[in-house]
Amino acid sequence: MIELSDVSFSYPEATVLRGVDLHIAEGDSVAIIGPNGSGKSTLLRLLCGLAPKFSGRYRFDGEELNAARLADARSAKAFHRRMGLLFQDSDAQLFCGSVYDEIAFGPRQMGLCEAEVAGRVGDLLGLFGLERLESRVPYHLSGGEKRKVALASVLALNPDAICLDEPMGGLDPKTKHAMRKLIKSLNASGKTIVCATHDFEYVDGLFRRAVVLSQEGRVARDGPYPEVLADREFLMAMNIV
Amino acid sequence: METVPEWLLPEREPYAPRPDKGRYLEKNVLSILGTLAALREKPGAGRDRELLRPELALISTFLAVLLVSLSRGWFFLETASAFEFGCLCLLRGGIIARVLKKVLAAGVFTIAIFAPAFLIGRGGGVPALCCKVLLAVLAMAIFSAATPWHSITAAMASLRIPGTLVMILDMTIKYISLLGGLLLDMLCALKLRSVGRDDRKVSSLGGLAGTLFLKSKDAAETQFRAMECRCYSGNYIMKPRSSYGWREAALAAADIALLGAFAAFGIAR
Repeated sequence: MIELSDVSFSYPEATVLRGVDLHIAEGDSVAIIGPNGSGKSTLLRLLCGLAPKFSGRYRFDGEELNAARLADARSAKAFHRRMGLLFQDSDAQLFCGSVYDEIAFGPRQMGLCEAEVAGRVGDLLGLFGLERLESRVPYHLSGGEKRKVALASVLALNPDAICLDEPMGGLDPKTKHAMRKLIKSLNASGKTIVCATHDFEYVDGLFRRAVVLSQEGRVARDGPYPEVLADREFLMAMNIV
Repeated sequence: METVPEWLLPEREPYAPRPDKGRYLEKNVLSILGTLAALREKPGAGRDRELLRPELALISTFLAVLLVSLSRGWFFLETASAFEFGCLCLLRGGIIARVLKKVLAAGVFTIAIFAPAFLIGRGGGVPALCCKVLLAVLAMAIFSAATPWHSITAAMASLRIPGTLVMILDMTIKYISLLGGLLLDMLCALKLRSVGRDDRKVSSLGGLAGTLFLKSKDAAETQFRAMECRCYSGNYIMKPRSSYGWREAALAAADIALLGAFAAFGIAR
């Protein structure tokens, strides 16, 4: 589904990703691991088409994705519908006046009728246990509630793949468990999950693969999650544990 | 949590985005990116950054603008041009192009403003005025291109400008950068979810502005509390900078020469 070949990306001040090769099959679950500043968030943004000026090759579902394709509004929108991103800072993702409108934003954009929109919003409110917060202003919710609303607003588009940027960051243990359960059930239902994380305690058993990024932004290791996480010496050398 | 609803199961949902007008999101993202890149440029990244002690550069710029504005003779304007273009040559090619672009824009604007004076036959002083505007903009553009923001505020502090004013300027720059980053993320998030036609663009942008306002209010309160906790007494002292070198001496000499040229050719017509 996702194929990156020799992809590099630079900000004006520094090169963040260098020669990244990454192949993610449909329905796969991959953890992106690396020290601070290794380019995990940038990689997720690149996967979601927010960093179009990369070098190398990016194919999504067999189709080439490049700056020209992302500049075309129709194909970019079709791609964004299929690829969701949960931002690290939920405040950046929430801008509507109520939780209901926040979740309904995507389905309304898709042109669904209000009954269908209400159905999707109701399902997601139930899935996340947010029913009582339906009319609250998202900005004033707690960190965990904001994270749930942000993820619900992404899921409302029914994306095929979901990129999660530190989904457990700043959550209390109970919410982390709930988030873990939800990610697991999304993956079990066939969604492709790509997740940048530091929180190994709560994501154990959640991912099939682990991709380790080095400080220089290269793929230092790509293998089965349990195998990579068992190699403590390697993880210590990479400044991950 | 409950089980995943049926519509979320990965049956490929046929979807063709509805056409929508406007590229306001892309334009806003690009404009914020440009502003943030300018604010975040690291000192010492190129040889044109912190080429000189910023306080001396600030004084020289102020002097050049003042003398050019007060001058009444062409010969002094030519001398000032030589001085400023000499300074410009010390910058990198890309930066020179950026500076000249600003000067050119100012030139076109000035000519457009003074064009009516020409048309009614009262354009005698216009060439000198245009030249003065261009030289003043050039001096400011060189200073801004060659000095990072935080160095400018540090320079103001060492020139005995009140600490509160310098601190406000410093914080303003910091929050433009921080809130600009947040706004950029919000625009990206909006873009990712704007997968069809947004019939409520104003409402979406209003939501971004509202969140940004709330965030900035929270940040201001947090900063205030943090400063209280750190015993802020009203003084804002910055680290003293390194000593003067030959570059500073050369610029000081050039400034004195410019003052001399002004005394000799700039006062009388």
